[in-house]
Amino acid sequence: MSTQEVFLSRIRRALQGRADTPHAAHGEAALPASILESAEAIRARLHHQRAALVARLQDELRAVGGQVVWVKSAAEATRYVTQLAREYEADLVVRWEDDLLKMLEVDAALQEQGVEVRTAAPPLEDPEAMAEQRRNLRDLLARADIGLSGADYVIAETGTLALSTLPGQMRGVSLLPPVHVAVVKPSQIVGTMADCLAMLQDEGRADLPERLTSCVSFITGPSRTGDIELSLTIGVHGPGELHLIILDDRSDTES
Amino acid sequence: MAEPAQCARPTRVALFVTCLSDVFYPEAGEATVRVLRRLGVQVDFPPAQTCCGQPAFNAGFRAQARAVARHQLEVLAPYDCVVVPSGSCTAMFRVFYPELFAGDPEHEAQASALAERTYEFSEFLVRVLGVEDVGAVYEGKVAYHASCHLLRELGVDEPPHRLLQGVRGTQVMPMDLATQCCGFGGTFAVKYPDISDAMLKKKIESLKRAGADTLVSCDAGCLMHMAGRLHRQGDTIRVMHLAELLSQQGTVPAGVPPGGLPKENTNGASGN
Amino acid sequence: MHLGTEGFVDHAKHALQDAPLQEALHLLTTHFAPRRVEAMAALGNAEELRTQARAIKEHTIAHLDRYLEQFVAQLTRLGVQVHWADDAAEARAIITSIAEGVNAKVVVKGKSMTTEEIELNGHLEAEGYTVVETDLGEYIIQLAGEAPSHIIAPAIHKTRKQIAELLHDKLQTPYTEVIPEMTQIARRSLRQQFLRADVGITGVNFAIAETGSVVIVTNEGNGRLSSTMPKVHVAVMGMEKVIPRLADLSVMLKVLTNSATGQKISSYVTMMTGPRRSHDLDGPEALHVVILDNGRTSILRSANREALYCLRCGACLNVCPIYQNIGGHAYGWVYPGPIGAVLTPLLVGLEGASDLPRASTLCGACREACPVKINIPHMLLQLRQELVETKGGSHWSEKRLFSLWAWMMQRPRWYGWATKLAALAHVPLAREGWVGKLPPPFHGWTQSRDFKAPAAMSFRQRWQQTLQHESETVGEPRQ
Repeated sequence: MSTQEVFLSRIRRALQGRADTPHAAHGEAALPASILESAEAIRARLHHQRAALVARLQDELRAVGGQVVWVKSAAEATRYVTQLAREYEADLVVRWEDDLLKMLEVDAALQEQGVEVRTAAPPLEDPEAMAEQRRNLRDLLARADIGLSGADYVIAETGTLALSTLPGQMRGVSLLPPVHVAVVKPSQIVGTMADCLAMLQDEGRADLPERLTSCVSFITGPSRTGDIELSLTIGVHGPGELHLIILDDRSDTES
Repeated sequence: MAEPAQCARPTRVALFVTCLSDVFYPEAGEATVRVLRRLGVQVDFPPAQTCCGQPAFNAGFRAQARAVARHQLEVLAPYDCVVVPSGSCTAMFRVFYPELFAGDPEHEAQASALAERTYEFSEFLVRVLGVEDVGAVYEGKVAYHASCHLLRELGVDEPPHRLLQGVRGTQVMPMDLATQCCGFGGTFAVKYPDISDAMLKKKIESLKRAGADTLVSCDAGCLMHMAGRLHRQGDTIRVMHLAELLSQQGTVPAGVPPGGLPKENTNGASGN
Repeated sequence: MHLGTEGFVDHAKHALQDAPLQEALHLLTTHFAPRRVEAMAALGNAEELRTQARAIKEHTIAHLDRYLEQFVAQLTRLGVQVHWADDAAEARAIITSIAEGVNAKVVVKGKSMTTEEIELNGHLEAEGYTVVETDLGEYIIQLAGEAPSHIIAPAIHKTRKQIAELLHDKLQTPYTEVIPEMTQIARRSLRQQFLRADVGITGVNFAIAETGSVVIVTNEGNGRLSSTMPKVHVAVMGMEKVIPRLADLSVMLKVLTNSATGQKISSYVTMMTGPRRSHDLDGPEALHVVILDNGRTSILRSANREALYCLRCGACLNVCPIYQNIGGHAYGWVYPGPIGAVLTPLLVGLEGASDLPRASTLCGACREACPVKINIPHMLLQLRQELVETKGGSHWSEKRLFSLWAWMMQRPRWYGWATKLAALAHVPLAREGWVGKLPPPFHGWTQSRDFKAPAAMSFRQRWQQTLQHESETVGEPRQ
């Protein structure tokens, strides 16, 4: 097996041979200013574009087969979820531990219908207990009918949800069940991927040892494939249905 | 891609006729001369010219290509403006000569200088002379094949189209695969005949779908290749170099504008 | 998969006669290629993005050691295990020992051309592991025992009917040609594998130096499952996959997905920064990154360095008239199409792959489609020169021919005599100016087309005799 020294010095020798690339002398590759905008500047800009962003988001997500609703109250949002559960004859919903979802009081509403709701709660202290918790959650997700999450950001340009793995935000919730439902607020909508990446790296996020979590999943619509005769088929390994609920109840102080 | 300098409208040019045209398509060379003269441009033909060297270059024989290229540089040195009725030869001069002589300052300088004053024929007419209507008259349904070097190495696509639009009596028939390679590729057609044939077949099918009775291009190699197939098939679609089409001065009913017959008015004269 | 590049001409011939293959390949022109065109047009600033993407790649590769160093420093800080593989054998050994270390039985794989390059599957299977390809296209060809024929659509050479028969035959499931049904069969069959796999192996689309992140770009969800469910995730990357900053990802992603499939973005872009953290309820316990050279350094050193800018999007394949006609298997190795014609000789040597740089008309459609503007035609020309200069790279008769030709082309009088001679020589062969059959080595031309005989009077003869003196009314053009 090679070592870093051997590997890199081989590269350095190869690079010494040719010094004819025009950009080699310069520092960083030049990028347009917009891509290197600060999170603060982005937030200020987005504030004025909110309505247009909501509209764009809905168009883009629908175009890739996602379903979007824009609701004005927590009650409406909850109703949408319970309606879905009925439609899919869901027995089990697994959700993130998420303030927004808690606010919706969706657990009670679903349980009233006889739907079991489990939360991928933050991990327990004891390592053995945690190992068991992880195993249990894995089994639950394997048989869950609906995965319910929030999101960190939503990208209007492409209809993309950005889901990190902050505490309470389990990866499998948006991956294993056949249906994924996400609830967001308008203040979470950004314009472009560049905006989103800047926000994710924002230094304001002091609660993380590293700024990026172990996994950020950018999810755009349901899973799909074109592997057979280039014919588009929805629903392969990831969820075959994606529902986004935009809860615009004006309680957003951040917009 | 070396762009030639925009020179003032010249009244005298040197013709680099290309070896393919010289030997196989002299009509194209003749037509080039006639069209240029009609437009008020005097034409010189440097008699010592031979070949731009592309066959050797494409086959990887750069030393041989360089030797031939040096000769061409010498032959063309005295001329202010060179016109070439071939996209691939023009690309050889403009794009590949500077590369061929990289590291040889004297010839590199000559090559760059030549690149700045060498034009493909249709490019010369439209972008240098500023002409789109050369007074040509040709009754027919014409499809245009965009040869690869012209289109992609030189970025010349509008000029041939504009010139075609300027021909009275001509109806331009778009080919759905107009920009697809015809499969010639120089020695490729001889070395990989099965693949070349497959490409050619698709191209000819596209030509037929276009409903044209005439096929036009700016490159003799492509023309030979496609004409060869059409002839083998016993097909009577006429194949000609753009210059030949532009040199036509046949008759057409009065009142027909350049760009051809109105679509409803297919009088059945063409289509053979 | 062993090197099959020497049989190029035969393979191409077979491919051309393979009707189902031709039917399948036709979809490239009707579906795949147009999607990219539409998507790039819809972006509005495609040209600008391509320029930026190329600049990012050019810069990164020019400082590759520095960025790899930064990347690895971050990986180490995050608790990722880093492995350096000089060549394919080392990479295989590394991955095998990782699997061994966790007593693995089942390995699931996301689609990765790099793992095809190092011939990983066969090796792992020989060592007793169960290897399951989870990308639908890869799963199909794994069942068929075939190699992928396209960089991003591995089973594109198969028709729906062929796939239906395959699934029915290998999985004993009810026969169906309905595509969504076939997809669900695969989903059900593979879901169990994800849940029981011990190790998940994926490729890497982008490796971000600034943050130590590994990014994969997928549509099906199998990449996510492969990197989330098993205890161990192994990400295998060619060393050229690194990009400097997180911000650069937005440009690279855009040009990649729009060029590859005509999508604004793929269904899933997964950015992994280290293995799971203490608060994570799922995700791999251990993340290994295997950095592969396998000949890339020699590309770095060569005049063809820009081959390392390749994003593996497959756009060049879709527009290449050669690929469109012969499909991917004829190229004989992992990477087909225009980029394959460059990478294969560069990575495995020109000797066995001499047809690849030559079997091209240099039409340039590939360069036009490439999101990072790789000048493939110029690289092919460069390789042709190298072929000529290597011993045995070209036939001695060809060299003789071109030397003679060059001698003649510098001497106009000899050239003039030769062309007159050629015209005369064709008189017995030609009828009405056309030759139906040329002798070897030119007989390839007349296989399916006639050869236009040299004109009785060449241009220069006409010029000398009449054209020179012809005075046409030199007039003003009609405007």
